[in-house]
Amino acid sequence: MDMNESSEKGMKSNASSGPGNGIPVEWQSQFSGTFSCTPAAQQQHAMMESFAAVSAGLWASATSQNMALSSDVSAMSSAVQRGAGFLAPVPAFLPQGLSHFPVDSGFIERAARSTCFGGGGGMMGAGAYGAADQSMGDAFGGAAERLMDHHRNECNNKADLELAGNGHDEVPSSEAAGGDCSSKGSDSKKRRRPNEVMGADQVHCSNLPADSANESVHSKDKGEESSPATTTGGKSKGKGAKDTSESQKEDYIHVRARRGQATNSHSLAERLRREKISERMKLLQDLVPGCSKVTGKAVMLDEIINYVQSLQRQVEFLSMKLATVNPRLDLNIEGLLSKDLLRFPGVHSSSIGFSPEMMHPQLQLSQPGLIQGGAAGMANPDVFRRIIQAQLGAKEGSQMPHALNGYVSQMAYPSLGSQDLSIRPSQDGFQM
Amino acid sequence: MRGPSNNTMMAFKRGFLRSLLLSLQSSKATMSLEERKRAVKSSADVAMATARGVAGARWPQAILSSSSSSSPSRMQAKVKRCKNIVRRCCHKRRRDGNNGTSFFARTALNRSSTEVARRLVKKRTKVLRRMIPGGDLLDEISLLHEAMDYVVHLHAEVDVLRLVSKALQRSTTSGLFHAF
Repeated sequence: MDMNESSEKGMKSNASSGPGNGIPVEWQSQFSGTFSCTPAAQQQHAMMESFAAVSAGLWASATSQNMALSSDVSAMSSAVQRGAGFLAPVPAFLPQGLSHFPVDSGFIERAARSTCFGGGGGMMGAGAYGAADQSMGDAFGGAAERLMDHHRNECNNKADLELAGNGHDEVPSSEAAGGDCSSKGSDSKKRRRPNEVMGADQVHCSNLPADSANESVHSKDKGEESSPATTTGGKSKGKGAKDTSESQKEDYIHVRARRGQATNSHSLAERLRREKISERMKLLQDLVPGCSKVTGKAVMLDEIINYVQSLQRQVEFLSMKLATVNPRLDLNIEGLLSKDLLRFPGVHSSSIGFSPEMMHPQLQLSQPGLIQGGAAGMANPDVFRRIIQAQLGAKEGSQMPHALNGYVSQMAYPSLGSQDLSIRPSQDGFQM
Repeated sequence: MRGPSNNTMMAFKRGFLRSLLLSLQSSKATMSLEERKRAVKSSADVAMATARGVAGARWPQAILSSSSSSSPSRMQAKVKRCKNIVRRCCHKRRRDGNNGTSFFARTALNRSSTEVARRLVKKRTKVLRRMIPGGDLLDEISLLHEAMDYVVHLHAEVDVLRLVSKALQRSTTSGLFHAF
């Protein structure tokens, strides 16, 4: 706890440097009236999806593969409760590692639809179960946007817009909250009256982001109570049940302070931030291999940095290998893909065969706008050629022997286990 | 391999492979080794960014914007650096105001373990910011979020590149050439 506090204080200044997130209370109240819902919602949902895709193990759902976008609320609520009930044993499984992460975008869709109550709960409900299939991301983003508009028109209240205006600061909290909603729901001291409309779990989980956002927004107003300083922040999420429907009336968060806890509004925001960060660190722990026993932010960050560095070096090494193996960079597409296709089910040679036809004889250098369009999905040979030419023109090459030695010596990452790049590939590939 | 659902990562890998091959095809024919390696690497990065899509993360956009423009990016880099400097100054001023001591006095008196831990964490978050594309502008929480996302996709990229290189190796060393 001491480490957490110190590191939290240290990182508070870092966080305040972020775009508009330094003092979430003021920022959010400032933007509440003026922030447009759609881009924020889209961004939130996009981040939710990616986050869910990354940490989908937390939200494994029983009906995961159902992609139907239209479903009735009752089926959805039952699925939600099942999903919520599934959350409790999942954290226990995380250290051992899950082999698969079922995702369900229709699940989120249904969650989003059914949580229209309580102003903004809809969009947050989708956030609470961030289990979205990333390949459906665009479709989902569009559908979610429509849902957002729908909800915005329906649940016309200030809290809704405030939540919409909170940007991606909510999404992390929603994701973090989702993991805790069932396990920590019982921790909330102030349980609201049972919600007859939806299941209690669903209310909890769908309102987690709502009230974590509300908490940060209104913590200044309700100074006399503060959420207890648990490391997982389940308290602040647990009271969500009562908040989002009350938020329509008063926009306040009643958080009961534990004995001996500070009730300062600042400490509230700090605590919330700390919990979010610790949540993220836990998830990162599962991603980075060999970090299950590591505790503490500094060591975890070190491991993450090492891992990212090693991955980036692997990419460099492999690209160097590719560059040496084929001297003309014209990869034999059909030959390659006939083998790779076996590993990538569903890719037909016809889908790749379009690529030669896409190359235009005259390549016009495109505007940056084209790159934004290219980023939307389709690879454009014009873009790539321009990019590669820019790269080649801008940088100067380093010495090759230096590069090779650097690669070989830097390749050892101890925790990579079976994936370690030994010297063998370099000896095979660099025959010149 | 752990990570998001297999379907998601398969889709990403397919898209990545497609973009990678496209970009390699469209590159110049005659290049030195260094140029080729850089071409492969940059096309791999861009392919990863496009396969990921702009939804849900900042790093794809950062990769694409950094690779697409040369002189505007210099301006952007300068702007970013200025922002960082201002940020750092503001933080120091704010922190010093809170603590009541000057910057130099604090560094001299820095003995407690919490201070050490805090400085370690800050140093490492700075390093992490540098490594993740577009990480300079992110706050602490979304930085971790981005790191997660980036790690997963980087991992997939490494897998795909390894497959491709293995396939190439097999095709060249065994002497089999598949006709178009």
